[in-house]
Amino acid sequence: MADSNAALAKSDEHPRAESPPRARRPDYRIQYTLKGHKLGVSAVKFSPDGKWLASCSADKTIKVWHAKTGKYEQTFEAHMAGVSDIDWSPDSLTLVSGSDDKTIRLWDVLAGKMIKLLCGHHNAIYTVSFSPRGNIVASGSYDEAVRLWDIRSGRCMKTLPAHSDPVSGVHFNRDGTMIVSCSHDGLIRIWDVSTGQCLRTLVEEDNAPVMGVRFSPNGKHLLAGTLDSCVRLWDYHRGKCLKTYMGHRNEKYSIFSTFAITKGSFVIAGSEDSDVYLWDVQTKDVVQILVGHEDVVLGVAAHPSDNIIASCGLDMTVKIWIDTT
Amino acid sequence: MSRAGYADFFPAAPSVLAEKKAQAERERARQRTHREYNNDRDSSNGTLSATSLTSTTSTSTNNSSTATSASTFTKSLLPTHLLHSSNRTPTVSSPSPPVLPSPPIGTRHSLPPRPQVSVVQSYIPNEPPPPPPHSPTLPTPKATPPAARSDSAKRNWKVKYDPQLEKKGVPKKSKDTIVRFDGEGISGPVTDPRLAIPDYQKGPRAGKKRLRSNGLYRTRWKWDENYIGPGPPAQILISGLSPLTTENEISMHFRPYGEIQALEVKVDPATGGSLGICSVLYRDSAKHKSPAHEGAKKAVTAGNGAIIGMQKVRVELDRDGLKGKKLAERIVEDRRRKELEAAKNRPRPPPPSHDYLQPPNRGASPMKGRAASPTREPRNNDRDRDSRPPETRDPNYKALDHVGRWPYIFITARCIPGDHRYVRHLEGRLKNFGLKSVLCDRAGFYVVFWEQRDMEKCFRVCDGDRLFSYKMRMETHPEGNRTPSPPPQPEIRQVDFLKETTAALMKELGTALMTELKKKIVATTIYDALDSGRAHKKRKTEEAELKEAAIKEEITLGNASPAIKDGRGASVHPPSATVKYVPITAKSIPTKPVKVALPRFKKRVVPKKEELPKVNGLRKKPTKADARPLAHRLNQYDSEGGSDDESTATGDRPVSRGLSTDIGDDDSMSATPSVTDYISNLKRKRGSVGPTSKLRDTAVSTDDEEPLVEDCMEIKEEEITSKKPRLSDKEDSPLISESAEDDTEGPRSKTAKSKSKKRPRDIDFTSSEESECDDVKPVGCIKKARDDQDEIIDVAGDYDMDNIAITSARKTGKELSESRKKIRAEVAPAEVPKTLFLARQLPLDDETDDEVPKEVVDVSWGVSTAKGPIATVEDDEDMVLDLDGWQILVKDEEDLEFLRLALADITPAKLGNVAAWAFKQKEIKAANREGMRGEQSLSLSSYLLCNSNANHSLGATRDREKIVGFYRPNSTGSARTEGYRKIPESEKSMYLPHRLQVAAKRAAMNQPPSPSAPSTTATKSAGSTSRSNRVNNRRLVAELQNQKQMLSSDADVMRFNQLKKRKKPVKFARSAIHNWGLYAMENISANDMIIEYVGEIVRQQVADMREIKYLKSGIGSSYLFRIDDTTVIDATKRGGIARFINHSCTPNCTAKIIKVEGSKRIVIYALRDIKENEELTYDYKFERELGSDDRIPCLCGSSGCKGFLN
Repeated sequence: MADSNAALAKSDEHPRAESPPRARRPDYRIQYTLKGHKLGVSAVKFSPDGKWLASCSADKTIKVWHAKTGKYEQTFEAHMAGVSDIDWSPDSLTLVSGSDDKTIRLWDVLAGKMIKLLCGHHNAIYTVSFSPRGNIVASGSYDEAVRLWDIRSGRCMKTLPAHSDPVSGVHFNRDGTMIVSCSHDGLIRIWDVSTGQCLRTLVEEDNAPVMGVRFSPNGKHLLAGTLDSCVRLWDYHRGKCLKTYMGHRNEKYSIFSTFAITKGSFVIAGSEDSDVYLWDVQTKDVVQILVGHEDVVLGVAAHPSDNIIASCGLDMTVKIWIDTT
Repeated sequence: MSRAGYADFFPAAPSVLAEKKAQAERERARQRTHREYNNDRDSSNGTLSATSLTSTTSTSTNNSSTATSASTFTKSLLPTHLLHSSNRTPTVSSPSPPVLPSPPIGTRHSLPPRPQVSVVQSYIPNEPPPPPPHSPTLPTPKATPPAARSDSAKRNWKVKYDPQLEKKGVPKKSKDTIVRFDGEGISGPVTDPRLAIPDYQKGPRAGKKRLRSNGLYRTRWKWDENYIGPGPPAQILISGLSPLTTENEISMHFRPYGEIQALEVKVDPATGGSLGICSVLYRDSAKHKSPAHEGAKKAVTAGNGAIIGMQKVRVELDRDGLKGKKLAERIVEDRRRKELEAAKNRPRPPPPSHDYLQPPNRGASPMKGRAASPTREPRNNDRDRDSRPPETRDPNYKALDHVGRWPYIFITARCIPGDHRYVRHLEGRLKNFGLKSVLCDRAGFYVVFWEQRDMEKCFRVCDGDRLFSYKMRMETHPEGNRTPSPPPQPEIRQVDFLKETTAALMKELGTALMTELKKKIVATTIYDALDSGRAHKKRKTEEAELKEAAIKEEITLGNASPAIKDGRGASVHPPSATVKYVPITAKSIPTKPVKVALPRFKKRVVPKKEELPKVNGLRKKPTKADARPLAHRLNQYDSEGGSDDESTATGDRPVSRGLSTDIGDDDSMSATPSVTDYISNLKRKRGSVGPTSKLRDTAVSTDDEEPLVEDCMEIKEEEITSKKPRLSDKEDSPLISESAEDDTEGPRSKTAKSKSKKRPRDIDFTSSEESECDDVKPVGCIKKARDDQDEIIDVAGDYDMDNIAITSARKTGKELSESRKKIRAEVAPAEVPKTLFLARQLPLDDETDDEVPKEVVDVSWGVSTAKGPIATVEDDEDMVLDLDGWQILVKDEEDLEFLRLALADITPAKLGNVAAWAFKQKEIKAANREGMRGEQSLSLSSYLLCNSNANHSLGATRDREKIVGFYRPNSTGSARTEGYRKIPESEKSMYLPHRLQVAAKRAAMNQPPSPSAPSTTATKSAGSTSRSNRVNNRRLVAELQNQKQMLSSDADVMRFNQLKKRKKPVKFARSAIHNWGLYAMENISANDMIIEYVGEIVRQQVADMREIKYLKSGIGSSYLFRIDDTTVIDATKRGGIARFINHSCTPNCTAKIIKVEGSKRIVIYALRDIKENEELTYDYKFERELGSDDRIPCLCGSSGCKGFLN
C-alpha cells in the first residue's frame, strides 16, 4: 500500500515522465483536395455551424465548399483584386472578405450575392474578423489602421490608429468586447471595442513582425505567429509569453495558426515547407505533421465540432484532413 | 381586541383568580354535557387539550376544526414540544390544568405565550395531566370551542397541583407520583424550568410583554413541490434601453442565461415606437438544465447595469409583467404629457384665435371667460413661456402667413434680434395701442393691430424708441399682408422615386412617340401628295428587280468602298478604289473600321448643279435609293450631303434622283423619282395632300420600300397602342439593321455630320428582324427588301464610278440604269419643291432608273475629295468594351459574324451557361459601380440602382470601374500570398492619409503666400493675455505662500506646479514625422512657454541602465532628457505629453532649463509664431556620431534636414 502510494506520489511529481498516451495523438489523414482556384489560396475558414468551408484566393474569388464532403458549392466573384482574408458571421449566413482593392465585401451565402461593399481603407486589406455578436466587422490593412465597420449601415464606425506598419491580424474575443491586432512592427495590441482605447500592448524582444494573432477559445490567451518561426501563446493579462511552439518554418509569409480543440487541444499552423504542423498545447511537442501540399501552406482552419482540419496554400489547392480515430 | 387587560397583567390578582375559577366551573359543566358526544374521539383527547394550549402559540388563523387540529397535532413530535416548552408553553406539570382556549385566540400571536397560560381561565382540576405542550412549528390549530374540546376529550390526567394557586410552595410529597402525559415519569420534584433561567421573573420578561427587538422572523419557504401559490418569477424587465435596440440584440444578451420563451419590447401604442422597455420571459429548458426562474435570476444578477448598445440597462425581476406594464404606462403618459405641453406652447405666439374676429374694447370689457383680453392671456402665458424651456421654433415659420389682413408694424430682426422672448416685452411696451398680437419669426417682429389708426399712433409714438438697448425701427403696413401665402407644406411627401420617374419617362416617351409618328405617318401622306403620279405597279416591279440587284451588290462589295462624302452631297467614289473585301481582323477593329457599302445619307445642303460632274449626261444624284422604310428615312436629321460612303456600291448606282431641277433649290433636296413616286403613291393611298417643308432632313425611301414602309407603318400604328418601350426597340433596331447592311463597324460618316449624333444612328436603318416586325408580314417585306438589296449589291461591282448612274453593279445593270434614267427623266419635271428626300439606296434608284431608261436626267458626278475612307459609323471611342459595350456595338448577325472572324485566332473560354455568366458579369459590374459610388453620393440614380430589383444592367459605360487611389498590384495576386515586405517610408507617404495631408499642406505652403493667408500672430482675446495670465499666476503663488505660512506646514497638497499654469493647449496625434507628435491647438506667439517636459527624475547611472533596458525591450524611442550632468528626466513610462514632441532639423520650439521654486525644470518655448494645428518640434541636440553606422535617420522632412538625428 505504501509502495503504491509512493508510486502515485512519484507520478504526481513527474507527470511528464510518461509519454503522452497514444490515444491523444491525433491522426489526421488527407481526405479531399479541392481544386479550382487559379492562384494561390490565401485563407480557409470553417463556418460556425460546421457545414461550409470558405476559401479565398488571389484570383479574386471566394469559393464555398461543403465541409464534410468537400463538394464545391459556389463562387463569389466581384472583387477587383486578389482576396486576402475571409471570415464567417456567427450565424453562418454571411461572409466577409477583404481584398487588395481596398474594399471589404459582405456576401450572402444563401443567395450567393454580394450584400454590401465597405470602402474606406487606403491600402490593401490584409485581415478581417467578424464579431461574435454579428454586427461589427474589424479589418486590418496595409494602411496601418484597424477599422470597425457596422454591417447594417455599411459605415466605418471607428478607425483605430493601431500600428506603424501594416496590420497583419485582427481577431475578436469570445464576447466581442475586445479586439487584438498585430502588425509588422512586432507589436500586439488589445483594444476595447466600444471605446476604441488601447488596453494593452505586448511586444516580444526582438520585434519580429507578427503575422497573425488569435484569441484562444476561452478568451484568456493569445496565439501569435511571428516571422522568427515561432508561434507563441501569450497570457495577456500578465503580459507574459507562456508557450512557444517551434519546429516549422516561417520567415516570409503570413502563416495562420489556430487552435484545434475538438479532440484534445492542439495548435495547428502551416509552414513554409509545405506541411501542416500540430502541437500539443501543453507540452509544446509536435504531435503530427501533415504532408501533402506542394507549396507554402498559408492558412489552416479547424472544424468547430468535428475532427476536421482544412489547409490551403500557394499551390492553389485546399486540402481537408480528417481524423477518424 | 384582545382581552389583554387587567387579567393578563395581573393574573395572580385575587379577583382574576376568582373569575377564572368561576369560568372553569362553567367550562367543566359544559364539558360534561358534551362528553358523550365526544366520547368516541379518543385520540383527540389529548389533542384537544393540546389545541387549547396551542392557542397561546403564534396563530394566524382562528377557525380551525377540531379534526384538523387534532390530526396535525398527532403529527407533531414529542421532543419538539419539550424543546419549546420552556419558552412558550406552560409547564406541563401534571397538576397544571389543561389550557383551554382562552379568548385571546388569534389576538395574541405577537405575544409569547404567557407563563400564566397554565393558569388560564378554565382548567379542570383532577383531570389527568395535560398533554405535552404543543409545538409551535405545527400549523396553527384552529380554535375550537372549549366546550367541544373539553367534552370530547377523554382526560387522562388530572390536575394535582397548580403552583399558581398553591401559594404555599412546592407540594408536599404525596403518594401519587406526578406523571407526565402518557406515563412518563418524573424523577424528583417538578420545577418550573423557567426558573432555571436566571432573572427570568425579574428580568424584563417577567410578567410583561416581551418585545422582540430583532423583529419578527419571517419564515421563508423554499419553493418545492409542496409550495402552494405562484412560482418564482421567470420574467424580467429590462428598462433603460435605447429605442434603437433591436429585439435581436436584446435576445443575444439574455440568451445565455436561459431559454427565452418570450421577448417583448414594449411599444408606444400610438406611434409604435419603442419605449425602451423590454420584458423577457424564460422557460424551463433542458439544455441549460435550469428552470425558468434560475434563468431569470441569473439574468438579473448579470444583466443589471450591463451595457447594451451604449446604454446602461436596468434588469429586475418582474412577476407576471406587472412592473413592465406599469412602467410602460407611465412612460407613455409622460410622453403624452410632454407632447401636450409642447403642443400648447407652439401655437402660443398668435394669441388665441378665438379672439380673431372680435377686437377687444378699449375698456377691456370681458367677453366670455377668455376675453379677459388677449393681452392678459398672452401675458400670462408669456410668463409661463419664459419659465418653460425655450420652444424650438420651426425655422421655416413665416409670421407673415399668420398676419392676415390686419394692419401691422414690422420691426426688422436687424434692430432687435428675432427672438421669441422679446415678444413679451414688445407686447408689454406696445400694449396701449390696442395691438392684436405680436408675431415673431426670423425676419423680425410683426406687431399686428386691430385698427389702422392704432397702428399709426403706435408708429408715431414708438418708432425709434428703445426697447432695452435696441432701437425699434418700425415699418408700417396698413394693408396687412395682402397675399397671405398658405402655410408651407411642412412635410415632404414621401415620393416614390421609381413611380415618379417612370411616369415622367412615360410622358416623355409618349410625346416623343407622337412626334415621331407625326413625322413618319404624316410625312408619308405628304409625300404621297407630292408624288407625281407614277404608276405604282410599275414601280413595284422595278423595285423588286432593283432590290435584288442592289442587295447582291452590297454583299459582294462588303466593306469595300470608302465612302466619300462630299459635304455637298455629290459624292462619288473612285470606282476601282478599294472595292475589295477587307476582312476585319482583331487588329483592325479598334482602328478606324473599314467602310462598307452603306445606304447613304444625304446632307440637306443642296449641291450646286455645276459642281456635279456630268457623267454621261447624267448628273450624279447625291441622293440614293433607300431600302429602308420610309419612316426611318424620313426621320433622318443629318445634314450630311453626299455622305455616301458606300457610294461605290450605292454611289455608283445612279443617284440620279432625277430632280435636277430640285437640286438647284435651296431648301430642298430633290427626291429621287422613285421616292417621289412612292410618296405620291402613299399620298394617293392616304389621301393627304401637300408636302411640308418641315421634313427637310429626311431621307426618302424609294418605291421598293413602300411595302415595307407601309407595313411598318401599320406596325407602328399598332405600336402606338403597344408598350412604350417598343419605341426604343424600334429605334434600336434601326441601329442594328443599319449595321447589318453595313457589316458591322462600317463607319458612318453621315452620322458625324448629322446634327445629333445619336439620332440618325437610331433612325437610319431599315427595321431589321429585331424590330417590331415580328409579324410574318413585315418580316417578309423586310426580307424582300434585303434580298433586293443584296441583289443590287451584287451587281454593283460592275459600276464605273464615273458612270455610276449607268453602271450600277447589278445584274440588270444596264437595265437598272436605264430605268433610273427613265425615272429621272420622268420625275425631272415633277417637282417636289419643299420636301427634301435623300434617297439612300442606289438599288432603288437603279431600279427606278431601269424602268425608265430613256429619260435620263442630267446628273453630274464628282470624285469625292475626302482623304481616306470616311467612316459611316462613328464609334464611341470612350465606350468601354466590356460585355455591355460589345452588346451595343454588335448590332446583328452580320456584325457578329465579322466579330467571330476577327476573333477566330483566340481560343474561347469555357463559360458554362453563357447567359448566366453574362448576367453575373453585369451584376458584378453594377455592384462594383454602385458600391464604389454609393458611398459618396446618394443620387437618384444610385438610389434607383440600389433599390430596383430589376436587372442591374447599367448598359455601356464610358469608364471602367477601377480601384481608386493608391494601388500597387501584387505579383502573386493578393497581399497575403505576397509575404512579408518592408515597405519603405516613401511608399508609405503615398497612401497614409495623414502624410498625404501633410504633404498637401506643405505644397500649399510652398506656393507664394496668398493674401488671405491667416495671420500667424497669436490672437489675444480679451480674456487671457499672457500678461494677465502671469499676473494671475503671481497672485496665486503669493496667495499660496501666504497660506503656507499661515498653516506653517509644507503639506503636499500645497505643492503647486506653477509651470502648469503656463501651459498652452496642445494635443497629440499621429504625425507625419514619426508615429505620434504634439500639435498646437491655438496660435502661439514667439517666445511663449508651451509646456514642461515632465517625467521621472533619475540619476545618470540609473538613466544609463534604463537606456540599455529599453533598447533591449524594443522601445526604440528615447525619452530621456538631460537636465544637467547628473540628472536626467525619463518620460518613457511616466511623464507628460511633452514626450510626444518630435525632432526636426528646423524646429519651431526650443528647450530651456529654468529654475522654478528652487528646482530645475525643462521647459519648451516657442522659437517663432506657431499656427494652430502645427506640429511642435524642437532640436533634440543629440551628439553627432558621424562615424557611427547606427545613426537614426531624421524624418522631419524639412528643407534644412541634416538627415540624421545624431
